[in-house]
Amino acid sequence: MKQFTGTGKLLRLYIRRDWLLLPIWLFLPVVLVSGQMTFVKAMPDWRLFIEELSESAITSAWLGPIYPLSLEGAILWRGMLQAAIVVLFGAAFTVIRHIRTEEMSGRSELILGKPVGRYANVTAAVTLSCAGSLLAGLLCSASLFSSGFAAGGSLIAGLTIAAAGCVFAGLGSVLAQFFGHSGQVRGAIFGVYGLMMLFMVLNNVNGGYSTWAWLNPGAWFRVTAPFAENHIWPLFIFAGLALIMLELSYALLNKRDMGAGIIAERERTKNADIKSPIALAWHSHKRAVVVWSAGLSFIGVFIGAITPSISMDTMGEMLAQLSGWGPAMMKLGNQEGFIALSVYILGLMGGLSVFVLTFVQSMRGEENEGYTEILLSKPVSRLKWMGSYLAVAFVGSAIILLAFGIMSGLGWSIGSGNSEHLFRVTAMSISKIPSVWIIIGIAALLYGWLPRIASFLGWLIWGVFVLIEMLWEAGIVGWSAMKWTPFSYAHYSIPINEISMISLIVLVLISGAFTALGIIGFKRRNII
Amino acid sequence: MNVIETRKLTKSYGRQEALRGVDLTVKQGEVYGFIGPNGSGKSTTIRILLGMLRKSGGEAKLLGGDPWADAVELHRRIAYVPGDVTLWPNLTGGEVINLLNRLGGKANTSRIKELLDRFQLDPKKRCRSYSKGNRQKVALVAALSSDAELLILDEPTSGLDPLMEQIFQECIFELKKQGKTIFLSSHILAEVEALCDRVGIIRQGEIVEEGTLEELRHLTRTTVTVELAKSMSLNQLQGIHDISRKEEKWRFSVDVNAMDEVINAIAPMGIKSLTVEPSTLEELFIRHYGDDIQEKAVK
Repeated sequence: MKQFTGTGKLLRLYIRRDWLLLPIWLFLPVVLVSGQMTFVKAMPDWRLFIEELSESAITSAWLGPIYPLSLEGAILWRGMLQAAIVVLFGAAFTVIRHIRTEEMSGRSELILGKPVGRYANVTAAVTLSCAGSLLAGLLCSASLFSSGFAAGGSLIAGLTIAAAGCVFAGLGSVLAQFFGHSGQVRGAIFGVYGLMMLFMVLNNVNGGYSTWAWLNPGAWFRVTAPFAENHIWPLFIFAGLALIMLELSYALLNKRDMGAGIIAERERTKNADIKSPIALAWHSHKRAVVVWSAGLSFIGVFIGAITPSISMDTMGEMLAQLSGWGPAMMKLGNQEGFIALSVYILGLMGGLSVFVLTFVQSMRGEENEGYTEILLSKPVSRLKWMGSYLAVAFVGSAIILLAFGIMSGLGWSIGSGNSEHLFRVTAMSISKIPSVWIIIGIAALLYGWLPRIASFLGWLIWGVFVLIEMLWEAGIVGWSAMKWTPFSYAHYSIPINEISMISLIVLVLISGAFTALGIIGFKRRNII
Repeated sequence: MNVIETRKLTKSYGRQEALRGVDLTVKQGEVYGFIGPNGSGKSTTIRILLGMLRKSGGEAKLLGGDPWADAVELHRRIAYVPGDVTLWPNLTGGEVINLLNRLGGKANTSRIKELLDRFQLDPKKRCRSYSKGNRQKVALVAALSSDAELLILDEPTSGLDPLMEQIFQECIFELKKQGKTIFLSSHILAEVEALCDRVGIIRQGEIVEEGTLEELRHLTRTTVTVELAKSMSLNQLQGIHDISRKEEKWRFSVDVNAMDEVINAIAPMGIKSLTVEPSTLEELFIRHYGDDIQEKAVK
């Protein structure tokens, strides 16, 4: 037990440090589940609606069939996936922050110099994440139960969400032992989740209840089946899995030195000749650009390849009347609709937006670390420093989108034997560039003027954009609201040859203006 | 020509005043020691001079220019070593030295190699594996190998071992011979005494003392240790303080202008041995810092 001395005290410290971050991923799931509930209940005839949606080939490839085919099922169908995503990333990042980021900063040594057991840090971090996941899940349970659903189903649904968080807390702690840099660990988590997304789509195209469902926490509710069979035993397996991961972290922890990862750093044989701020920015971030390009290309080929297997059956009348979404999808056809939606989610809304936001926000990290000061004490202007950094963000995001588009198009062309798709899908992907650049512009503007809260505001604004998108899909707000988001100008519902070039050019100009304003702010303020 | 000149320089963060009127004058070709306790405003002053922070009031001139507006041009002529050297963890020491030199112009490879040898630094290691002292060496090699006119060094040797400290001092003497100006903020008072022509002491955001070491010594007392054959009462003498006695050995401090009288008074008493030590910078420092502690105690 000596190994665990101090766990309780560390846990209290972590709660104190995370009091602002924790509530975000603790409460967001219940907001999403309740949102889905409000949305389904607002439908005039939800039964007909969910039957139609459940049979739509496009939605079922991403979201799977609705099960059980009831009001509860319609809420789980989308709410569970979203809630699980929030909880699993929240739990994993919390663990990474308290294990790897602390070690990188050297603060861990300060703690370990005290009478604190070797396992205390990992145990406290994983406990915090698991407790948080459980709380987030139970909040969802309470929300479901309080709206009149069965207690057993509500509880199992909540616990299934919690299980996703616990397993990813364990996974985060294992991966944090492997890599020396917290950025690498977070990248690995994204990588694992990207792979899991493929398993989810595989599960969905295989009917929704295949073994693949076990491989994505967002699909675990198909295993536990709340409000239907109400299986409890899978929850024990998930809990066991989390415990095994924790044990594995302890074992790995014993095999490595403090501050180092299991994967040893390669020795540099030759020094690179880095001679300008832009060369430095590229040197620091080329790996992220390469990894994102490779990852999205891999997913893209896969998505392209399964596109021909999407049924071309026309959708029901009810669905066609649902908001602007139905008619748009009718126009595209199921296969193109599916690939357009996939390119949109990964290339803009959920993928590249997140990439560029974290990229631009890492400037603040560089500043906090003192790297910025060292460069600016040389004859390097602030414009040059920030401009170099942003140039890599602009070019890097364009490279990733190009690679993603080509590979997705290639997948579809090979799968269908029609080479025209290559050009079409590539165009879809690169049409997202101006919208992604707007996100860069917004992040740069915030960094220049409001550096302390830039990160928070950046995510908040992105969250609002995503929310508007979801409300539009649900038919709650109209297209005029969508116009306020940069996402709408290269939206998946617009056929690629109908996208307005003028809008895209205007977007590029606006992103340039935001960036320029951001740099002006940066030139006027104190460096940390 | 004054290389650095500040007049009534102030900096405040909201209600908190970091600098309350700093007057500094650093002349060309001199080594200037900038000393003061933790949190007294040393780094804030330096970071205003570097154009990282915007001054709240007063004047600041660096090499005749405005540190904020002319930052890029001025930085061509200076080299800076930060107090807390953090370096890109994924770059090697050699890459950082090369980068910092190339940003300012050309890298003098033979000079870099010579300094790497002298400081015994392995440039192929990644910065994340360097100790604090080694990170400081990276920043020092980069600064010392540049052909800057002015070096601004913020506690550059706090992590160096005594051997490296010696080499650092040699390097500074060499640069001084070449006519370069060095602005050295330091906690290591022996280093300041060994290197600096003039010294400024900052306390709570104000310069409380500035001058050559000789001038500063005049403000304080000399410590005398004397062994006397006959006994006498020293207490009655003017300008004598902190008297302590161990058998025949006396130890006391004397005001600089009372030295003559004191020596005359003790001369007939049969001096067996006599040691006179000029006040060290440490005593000077403690005198000012001591006030701080007393003030706080009163409060």
